[in-house]
Amino acid sequence: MSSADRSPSPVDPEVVEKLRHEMARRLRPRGLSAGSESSLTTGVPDLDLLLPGGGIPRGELTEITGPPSSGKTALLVRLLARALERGEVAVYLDTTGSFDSTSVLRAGLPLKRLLLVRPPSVAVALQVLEELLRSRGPGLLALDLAGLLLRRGLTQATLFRLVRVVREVDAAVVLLRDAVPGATSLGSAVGLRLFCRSLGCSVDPSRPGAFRMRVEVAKSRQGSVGGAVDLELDGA
Amino acid sequence: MKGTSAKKRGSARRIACVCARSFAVSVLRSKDPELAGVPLVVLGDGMERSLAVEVSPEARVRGVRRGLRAAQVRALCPEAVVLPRDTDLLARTGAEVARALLAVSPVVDDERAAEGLFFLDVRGLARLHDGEEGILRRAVEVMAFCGHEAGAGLADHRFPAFAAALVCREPRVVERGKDRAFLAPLPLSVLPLPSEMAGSLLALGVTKVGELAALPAPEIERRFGAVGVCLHRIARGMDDGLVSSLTTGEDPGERIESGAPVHRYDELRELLRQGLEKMVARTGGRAQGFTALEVVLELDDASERGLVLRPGRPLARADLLLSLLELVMKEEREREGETWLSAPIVAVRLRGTGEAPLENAQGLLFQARAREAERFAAVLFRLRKRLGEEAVGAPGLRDDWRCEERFRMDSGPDLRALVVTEQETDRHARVVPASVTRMIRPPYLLRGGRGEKAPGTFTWGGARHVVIECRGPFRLSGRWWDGPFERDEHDLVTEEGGVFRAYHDRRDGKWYLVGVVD
Repeated sequence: MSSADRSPSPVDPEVVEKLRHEMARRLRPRGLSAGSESSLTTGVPDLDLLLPGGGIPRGELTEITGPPSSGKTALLVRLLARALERGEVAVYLDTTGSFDSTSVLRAGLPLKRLLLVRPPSVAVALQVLEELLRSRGPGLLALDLAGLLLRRGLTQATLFRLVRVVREVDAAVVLLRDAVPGATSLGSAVGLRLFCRSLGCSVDPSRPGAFRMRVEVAKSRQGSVGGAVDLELDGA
Repeated sequence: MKGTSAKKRGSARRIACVCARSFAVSVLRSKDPELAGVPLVVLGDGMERSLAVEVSPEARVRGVRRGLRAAQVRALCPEAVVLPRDTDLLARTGAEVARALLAVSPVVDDERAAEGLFFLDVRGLARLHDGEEGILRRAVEVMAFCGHEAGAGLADHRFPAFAAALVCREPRVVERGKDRAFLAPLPLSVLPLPSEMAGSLLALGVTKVGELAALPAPEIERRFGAVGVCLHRIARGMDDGLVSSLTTGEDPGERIESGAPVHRYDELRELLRQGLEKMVARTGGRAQGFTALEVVLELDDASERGLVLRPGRPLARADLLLSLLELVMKEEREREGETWLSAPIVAVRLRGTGEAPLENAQGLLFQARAREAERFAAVLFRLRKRLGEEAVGAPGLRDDWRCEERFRMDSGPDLRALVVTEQETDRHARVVPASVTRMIRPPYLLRGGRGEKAPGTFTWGGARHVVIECRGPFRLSGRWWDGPFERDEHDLVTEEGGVFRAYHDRRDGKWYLVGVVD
């Protein structure tokens, strides 16, 4: 009974499955489940295929930008929901006080699982973001800067400091910004930039209020740029 | 040298795993004896509610397998009894079995009791049970007494013990230091390899766990990163998972007396540090932490001052607990001024409550994460203190007739809720994104609207918007039960394609912007 060198009997496939499930379960809390190491998938298959690396990169800043009503917040909420589905901690830093519980809940985000922080200013938001990153707890952090022009507060020096921390902790950080004239560019600090634009209402009569959006890869350090995918959003 | 080696060997961990075969099936049968001998299939919960998750041997011989849908089960075996998994019953039964297993070892990990899976710390118990084989025999007897057939394995580490319990038909002891050899012939598919890693290993001709273990660790790390390192360690039998014990009841606490009355803060800090370190030393070895800490400062005038710290997650690090306690004391001092203590301190009493297993604290592999969880809890605690309870937490819904006011911050103490469970994951899974409204708080006054006519243009967010269409009114949030509607809501569509939510306030006749659909 105690001979360690004896080979185990041929392994039943069900046993193999149980063992793999056990290890997957043990690895999941670290955010190390299969395929998760370098990017966070959006859960929207077309978009994942478009994104270099199959999702939002970890260890890089990602910018989601677009004019008002382009669907950028919907995309961010989808990302947050996806991170929560994977058992990761997701943080939403709401600098503008624009978080709407009703529509976010309707969009499929489990509210009680989300960590929402409402910092009083962009400067405090950046401090909080860095502190949360250094805690190595969250897998995805979203900083909502939409509606702010940010001529002050978000300097290149601040951004590059943020980039260093993000690289150290290997988390996914998404900055949500409005594409309006006069807004400061985030320049080369960003590893992936997704540009969203509205394509108008859906033509599907069975989905009232739905509208279509286009997501373009405007910048990517990992792959080619210029690819685009059209998505249809359910109505708010 | 020999003596040292023997001593080291004697204190090395030995972990037994007891795994009930078809636990859900045997639990249902013990509840309803008429199910004995009947082909029985148990369905899962959540997204697996229509899938067979456990199958009795009688159903298995008729071709029923795990993962089949209920309809497929009925087609294959019409006489099968198909029942849903009774989670409460499983948890209760699992807890009873865990208590029964205390007869084998004083340290029984009941975290997975509801699945019929138990880990026992059995170091030093071999002589008590007539050898390590005797430990497993006894464990299997206890399981049989409870009405469950079980496999059992014993090894130096958790995963090899679990594998031994599952793979071998008879209870199996893996000799000390032979975990790697035991795992070596298992197929690589027992490990949850990322697809890229699995493909690369297959291309290299690596198909067994032992072949993965033989690859050089630095190369694995370079190619496959953190996941590769973890799996490579497992393959080498280096799963250093600990076994946490059953909840052991209330903590008796610590009382630290100061030699002389304490006047200075650094002296108080030292007293607290001593007490916390003693407490943590007592519970940390069992991988347990505290979710609440009660501190009583005994003062020289025979009065007492109480403080309570609720970090939200189980913590077991004295330095973190101390830094959080300092925050609580600082808050007290700010609230009540320098006179918050009426006299010098003569003793400190500390008692941890809500003892709970440290999250993800399954040994070295996961200790890094455990430290992260604690650090994260400490950061959240600090943020709440700095920004206020209303600025950090989980968002919630408030019942209000105004759409912009339907928000509240739920900052319940249990931050464990931030981590999603599998069942809840499934409930929220959604592939099609939905548009979201961004609220404008407080509502932004739009100039140019006249009476019920919407403004033709407006400036917001640094840009001028030209309204090309005004949809509505929708009258969704007026206080209709208490008089006439106060708000007519509209969607203003601008020429750039923006959809802004605005309302016409019927009381003052003005137009306000309240949100942007995005």
